[in-house]
Amino acid sequence: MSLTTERAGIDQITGNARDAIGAGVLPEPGTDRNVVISLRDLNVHYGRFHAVGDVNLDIPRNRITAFIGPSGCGKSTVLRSINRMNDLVPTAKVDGTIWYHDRNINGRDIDPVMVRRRIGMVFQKPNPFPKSIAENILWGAKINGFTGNKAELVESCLRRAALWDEVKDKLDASGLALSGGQQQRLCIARALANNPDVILMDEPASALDPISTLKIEDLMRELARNFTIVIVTHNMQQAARVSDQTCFFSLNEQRMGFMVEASPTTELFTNPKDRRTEDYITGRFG
Amino acid sequence: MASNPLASDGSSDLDLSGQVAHGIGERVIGALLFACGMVSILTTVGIIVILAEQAFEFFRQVPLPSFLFGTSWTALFKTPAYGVLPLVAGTLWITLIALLVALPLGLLSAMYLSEYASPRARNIIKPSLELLAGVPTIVYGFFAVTFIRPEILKPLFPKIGPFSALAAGIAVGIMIIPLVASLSEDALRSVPRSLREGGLAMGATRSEVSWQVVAPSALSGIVASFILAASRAIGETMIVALAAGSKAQLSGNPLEPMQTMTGFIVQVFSGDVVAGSTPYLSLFAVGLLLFLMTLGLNIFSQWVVSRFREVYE
Amino acid sequence: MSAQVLSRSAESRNETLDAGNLPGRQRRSRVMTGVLIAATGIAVLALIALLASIFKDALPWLRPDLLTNMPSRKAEKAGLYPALIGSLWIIGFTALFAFPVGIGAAIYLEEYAPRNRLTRLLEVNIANLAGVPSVVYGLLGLGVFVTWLNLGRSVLAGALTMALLILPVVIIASREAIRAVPPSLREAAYGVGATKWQVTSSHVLPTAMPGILTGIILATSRALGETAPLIVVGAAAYVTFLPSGWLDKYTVLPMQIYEWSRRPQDEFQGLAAAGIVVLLALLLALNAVAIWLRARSARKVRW
Ligand SMILES: Nc1ncnc2c1ncn2[C@@H]1O[C@H](COP(=O)(O)OP(=O)(O)OP(=O)(O)O)[C@@H](O)[C@H]1O
Ligand SMILES: [Mg+2]
Repeated sequence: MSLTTERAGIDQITGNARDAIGAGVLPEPGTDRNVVISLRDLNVHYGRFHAVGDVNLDIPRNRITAFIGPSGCGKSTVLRSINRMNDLVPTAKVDGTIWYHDRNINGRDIDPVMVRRRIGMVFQKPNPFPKSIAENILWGAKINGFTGNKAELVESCLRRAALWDEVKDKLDASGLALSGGQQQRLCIARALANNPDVILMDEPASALDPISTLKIEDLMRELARNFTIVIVTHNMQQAARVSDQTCFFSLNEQRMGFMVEASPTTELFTNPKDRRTEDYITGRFG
Repeated sequence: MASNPLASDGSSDLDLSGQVAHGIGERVIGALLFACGMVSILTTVGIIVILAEQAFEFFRQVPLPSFLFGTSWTALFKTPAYGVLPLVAGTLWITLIALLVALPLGLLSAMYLSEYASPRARNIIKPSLELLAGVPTIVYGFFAVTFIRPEILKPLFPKIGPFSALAAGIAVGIMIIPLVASLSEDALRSVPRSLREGGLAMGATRSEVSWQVVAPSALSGIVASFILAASRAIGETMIVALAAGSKAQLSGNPLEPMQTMTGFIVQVFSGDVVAGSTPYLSLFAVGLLLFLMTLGLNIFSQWVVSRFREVYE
Repeated sequence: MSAQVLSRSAESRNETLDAGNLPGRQRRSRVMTGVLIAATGIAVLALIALLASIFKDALPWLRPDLLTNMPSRKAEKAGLYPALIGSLWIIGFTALFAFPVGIGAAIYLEEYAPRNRLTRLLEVNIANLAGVPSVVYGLLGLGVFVTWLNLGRSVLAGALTMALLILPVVIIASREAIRAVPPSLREAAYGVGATKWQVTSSHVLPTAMPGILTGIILATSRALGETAPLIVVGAAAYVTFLPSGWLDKYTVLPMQIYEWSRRPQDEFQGLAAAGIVVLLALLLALNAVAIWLRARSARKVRW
């Protein structure tokens, strides 16, 4: 595993965000323009089960933040809280504040639909709609009141998702007729069509073959120039390869998940602050 | 090793006589079970042979074109005419009215149950609708005559008579709501959850996801349920026998009595009819037409499902 | 391709949580929720209206001797004793014919049938038979049992007709129950050297039996409510005696209800409603047995 991969990385994060990631002291939410999402005292319950406790985290702009940790430690739960997908789970209760720039979006006064338009999501298993490739992309834009040139939108989204060359001759074919990797890139293109600010990805490559995985990773690096990305992954090499910041989650005895540390990726993998992180990344966990 | 009873007696041949006896018994049983399966094939053959044979007799007396395209049906009158169009028109009117009632209510209920209802509401409403499906159709016929016509239609249309296509059609519609609701709900629920999440994650509202993502993904199942509903409405007998009247007429007014194909069959047997007479034979011609119409719709619905079903993992 | 769409500089990025067209869309979504609830409410309301209006009509006529009196031209004395007994005769014989054949066909299809064209035809055929209008079965019964086999307007002819009518339902329900038996059970039995029939009869069938019975009871309740085919094969309208053998004439509950509800007098309408209540009570009892069976077997065997 090469940790010295050359890339535009954490070193270019500047200002308060850099300090925040490094120092463990988080600034007041909404004060730093380079922080897009801030979680403060996030706690999630499923019924009586306390799934995640006291997460505090800043997610920097135009960077890739990776969540790693053992199965069941609440990575998906935290991720799905950010765009209010947990509202769909009747038993789920999300406490604490989630700041999107200077707005707390975890409140009854905020319509989750509004949140999801700015914070898109890509799921573990590709889930294109059983519609044509073009319609898959246009649908989100259409319901959100898009009135521009449809063909242009389709092309630009597919180009940014690195899928255009493969599908440009069959835009009317069903999205389900694509390969798994292509489907996943279609889902990414679909998320881009809404012109979101943040894209959340829950193990986006875990159902894919190694080549498709590499394509998705390249794509993420490319997208990070314009978007803020949060990715959950079980693959530590992947986290090391693509992310700028890595957050390690773990479980306590009550099976409650919590965040052990969040550091610039290179630091976390070479010089972890916490003993538990070190055990996990060197395979001594459990 | 030496104590293994199968290997120790020195004979290498297995005694197979028991197995052979088994083999014969097994084959007899297999044949019996096969015969049970064949009963259903025989039933179909029986239906076709009986209907076709008697209908053939009928068409020797009444030419096929004048049956299919004749506009007057007076089979039981002194001067009989055997043009089936009035019966077909009555059938189609009642089917149309029934579908206008059942398709929207059935589909909307299915959507509610599948996408909106809490588990508790579902647990109450679903069995109620199943109950509605288990009520014998004669009960719906009675309901049409004693409630739908006098309590609902009479105030709206004071001129409505004791028998009308409208009252019968509404009752047939109520009868097939559960069919549409339960088949459509099955189709909607089989749409994977991930598609809903995909839609919601893009900032779609609940109804946008329900109607623009889930419903199109379940379209083949929904359409199939609609076709089956039409087939059921065409074949429904007791409701129309009680509520639609027995006047075979080509009419554009659903407030008037009409006779359907099934209604005619029941009417004939409610009186006396001589076996082998032309009116008697006409039953089988009408029955054959009815059989072919419903069979066509059933096959069509199976085709829709197999041809257009989206297969999700 | 315009440059704005493709490039997304920091200046053009949308970082505000604006509502945009959302208020209108959410309003539409709420209206739709209301429409869905209203539609479901109407469907349930139809059921309530159906039951309530029939009970209201039936109430004055629900008296014990309704069950024990013969039909009569005088409404006050009329009862449905022969119809009740006739219905029991009919569903009894229907069950007797339909169950063995239906279960046999289901076993054949699930355990024995090779995957070939004939089997496929059999399956399609059964699915289509389930959609044939019941009155057509009446014509079949009239042609085959009443006329050709010369059984006349007898219990036997009626029951055989009904048996053919419910056969597809019995087969489909039994197949489902048999399919729910886990393959591991079959493999275990084959593994100790059992023949196909031994596996089927001593392991598959006993395990599937509660499910089969449930399906069968529901099919029987269908036979109890059917009227049209029996009108065609000659259930009599006015019967003042009980059948004493399977070649006797008979009438059935729905037939009696049909007769009464066709009479213009209000009294007979009330009697018809009372007859319906008796019919529904019988159906409810049958369904309760089915539900009880299902619950009991769910408790006993868990996979
Ligand atoms: N809908 C739910 N209802 C109840 N409990 C849930 C639900 N979703 C998750 N949980 C529980 O919450 C805890 C965290 O789950 P989560 O899916 O967030 O873990 P994860 O870190 O994403 O795991 P994995 O790596 O396996 O995806 C687990 O104990 C899980 O059982
Ligand atoms: Mg997860």
